Amino acid sequence: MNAPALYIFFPFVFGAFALLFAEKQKIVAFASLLVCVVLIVSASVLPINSMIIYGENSLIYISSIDVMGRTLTLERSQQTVLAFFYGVAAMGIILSLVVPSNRFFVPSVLMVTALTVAVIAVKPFIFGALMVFLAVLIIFPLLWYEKRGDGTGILRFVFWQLMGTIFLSLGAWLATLVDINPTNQALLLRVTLILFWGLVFWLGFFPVHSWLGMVMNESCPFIGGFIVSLIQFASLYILLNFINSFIWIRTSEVFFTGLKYLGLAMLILGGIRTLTERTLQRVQASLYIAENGIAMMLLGMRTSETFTIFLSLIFIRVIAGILWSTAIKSLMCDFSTEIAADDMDPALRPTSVWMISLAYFSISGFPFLASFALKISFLSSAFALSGKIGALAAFGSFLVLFGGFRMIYSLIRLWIKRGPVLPDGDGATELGPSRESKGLRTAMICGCVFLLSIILYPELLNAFISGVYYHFSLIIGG
Amino acid sequence: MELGWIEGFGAALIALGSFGSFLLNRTPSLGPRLISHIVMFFGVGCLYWSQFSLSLVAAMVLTGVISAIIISAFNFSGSFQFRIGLSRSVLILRLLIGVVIGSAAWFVLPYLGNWLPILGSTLLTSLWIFLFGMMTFALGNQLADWFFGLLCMTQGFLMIYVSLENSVTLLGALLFFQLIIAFLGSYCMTLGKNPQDETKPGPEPEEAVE
Repeated sequence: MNAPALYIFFPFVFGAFALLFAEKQKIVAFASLLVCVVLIVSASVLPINSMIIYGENSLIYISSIDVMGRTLTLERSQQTVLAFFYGVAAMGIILSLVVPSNRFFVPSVLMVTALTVAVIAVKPFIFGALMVFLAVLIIFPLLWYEKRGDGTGILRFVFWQLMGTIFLSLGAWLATLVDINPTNQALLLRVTLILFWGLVFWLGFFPVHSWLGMVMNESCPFIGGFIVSLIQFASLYILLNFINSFIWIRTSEVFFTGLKYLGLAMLILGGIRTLTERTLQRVQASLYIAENGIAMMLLGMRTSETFTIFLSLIFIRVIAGILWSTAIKSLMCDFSTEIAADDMDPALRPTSVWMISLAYFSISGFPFLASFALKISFLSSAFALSGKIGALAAFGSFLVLFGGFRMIYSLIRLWIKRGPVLPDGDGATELGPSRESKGLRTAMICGCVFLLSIILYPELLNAFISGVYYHFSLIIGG
Repeated sequence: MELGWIEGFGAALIALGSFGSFLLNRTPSLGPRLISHIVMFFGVGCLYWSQFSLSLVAAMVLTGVISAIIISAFNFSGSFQFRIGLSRSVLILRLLIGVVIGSAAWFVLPYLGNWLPILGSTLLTSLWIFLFGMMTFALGNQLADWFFGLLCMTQGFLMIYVSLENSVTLLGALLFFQLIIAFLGSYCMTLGKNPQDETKPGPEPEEAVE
C-alpha cells in the first residue's frame, strides 16, 4: 500500500465513479463523507513509511509511487495537511446537505480535493500547476451551470488560471537552468519575474485581481467560495514549494522585498475594495485580496514567527471562507439573480447573518476572534520592519475591519429600522418564522463554535501548522 | 532559421490558419474558422514532422482537429454555412492588428531565442498561435471565440513546452487539456446562452412547410 494511492487515486476514482450516481444525492454524500472520515482517521493514525501489522500479516505503507515518469510522494510531515484537506472536503459535503447545491458538487469536491493533494505530492513540484488547472477545468461545468450573469467572470477565471499555469511552468523550467548557472544575474532576474507573474495571475494580485471578484460574484457562492478557497491554498503551497526548493530564491533579497511591498499594496487595495463593493461575494473576494497581501508581507518578512502566522492565517481563511460562502448561499436562496447586501432581509435568516459576520471578523482579526492575536503579531512585525510600513499595514487592516462594519450595517440596517415587524401589503405584520432549516441552523452554529474555539484552543490549529512548518523549515533556515 | 520544405510549408500553414482564425473572429458561422483551425493543426503536424515520431505528431494533429470540431459542433445542427458576415473595415482593421502582432512576435524572436533553446521556426509559430489565441479571447464576444482562444493558447504553450521538455507525458497531459477545453466549450454553447444573444431579439420562427 502506498500513501498517494490512498489519498489521491482512491478519492479521485471514487469521486469520478460517484458522478454516475449523482442522482442519489444523499447516498453519494454519505458515502463520500465516509471516505473523507476514513482518510482523516488514516492520516491521523497511520504513520506513512511504516509497517502495519494486523494479526499475523503485515503491510508496508510506503510514501511514494511513480506515475509515467513523475513521482508522487507524501511525507509523514504532510499528514496533518492531508487530514486538513479531507476535513475541509468533509465540511463541504456536510454543508452541501443543508443548502441547495448541485448534485455533482459532492463527487467534484472529492476529485478536486484529490487533485489538491496531488499538488503537494507531485515531484517535480511544478506539475502541481497542471493539477491546479485540471481542478479548475473539473469544477468549471458546475460554476457555469450555476452561474448568475453572462459567465464572462468564470471564463476570465479559466483564462488567468491558464496564464498562471503557463508562466509557472516556463518559470520552473528556467529555474532548473539557474541551478546549473547560479551566477547569471540576467537569468535570475528573468526567472524571478516569470515565476512572480505566474503567481500574480493565480492569486489575483494587482493589477489582475478583477477575476477574483467576478468569478465569486457570478458563480454560485457556495461552489465558488469552496473552489477559490482551495485553489488559493494550493497556489500558496506551490509558492512555498518554490521558495523551499531553490536556494537562489531563498537568498534573493529582491524577491522578498518585492513580496513585502506588493503585499502592502494588496492589503490597502483589498481594504479599499471591502469598503466599496456592493455584493457579499465581491466583499469576500476583496477580503481574500487583502489577506493575500498580508500573506505576501508575512512571507517577505521571513522570520520564524511571521511564517507561523502566515500558515495559521491560511488555515483560518479556508475554514471561515467556506462557512461564509455557505451563509451567503443561504441568504441568496430567496433570490435568483445577484444580490446586494442592502437588498436582503436578514431577519429571515439570522444565523446566516451571524455566520457571515463572524467569518468576516475571524479572518480580518477583530478583537477576541480567531486571527486577532495573529494580526497583532503581524502588525508588530511590520512596525519592527519600519515605521512607515507598519503604519500603512495598520491602515490597510483598519480599512478591512471598517469594510466589515459597513457590510454588517448594510445587512442589519433594515432589521434595526423596522424592529420586530415586517411590512406586508396593507400594513405591518408580526415577524415571520425563520426561513432557515434546522440543519442549516445547526451547521451554522457548529461553524460559529468552531471558529470561536480556535481562539480558545489554539493548539488545535498548531497541530496542523507544526507539520507544514517542519516541511518548509528551509524557508526560514536559509 | 533554415527549414526543410515540409517544415516551411507547415510554418506557412500555421501562419495562415492562426491568422485566419483571428481574422474571422466574431463571425456568425463557425465553418470558416473551423477550416482555419484544421489548416493550423495540419501545419503543426508538418512542422513537427522531423522532430517527433509519427505517432506523436498524429496524436497532436488529430487531437487539435477533433478539439476544433467539438467546439464547432454546436454550429453543425443546421446546414454547413460558409458565411463570413464582417464588414470590409473590420477585416482591414483586424488585418492591421494581426500584422502588428505577427511582426512583434518576429522582432522579439531573437531575444526569446536566447533563453528558450527551441528551433526558431517552432518558437515563432507557437508564439503566433499563442498571441492570436490571446487576441481572439480578448476581442471575442461569443462563447466560440473565447473557447477557440483558449484552445489556441493551450496549443501555443504545448508547442513551446513540449519542445523544451521533450516529454511524452507532458504532451499527453496538454493534449488532454485541449480536449477538456473543447468539451467544456461545447457544453457551454449547448447549455448556456450567449451573452450577446440576450440583448438581441431571437430568430424568427420558420414557417411551417407542408
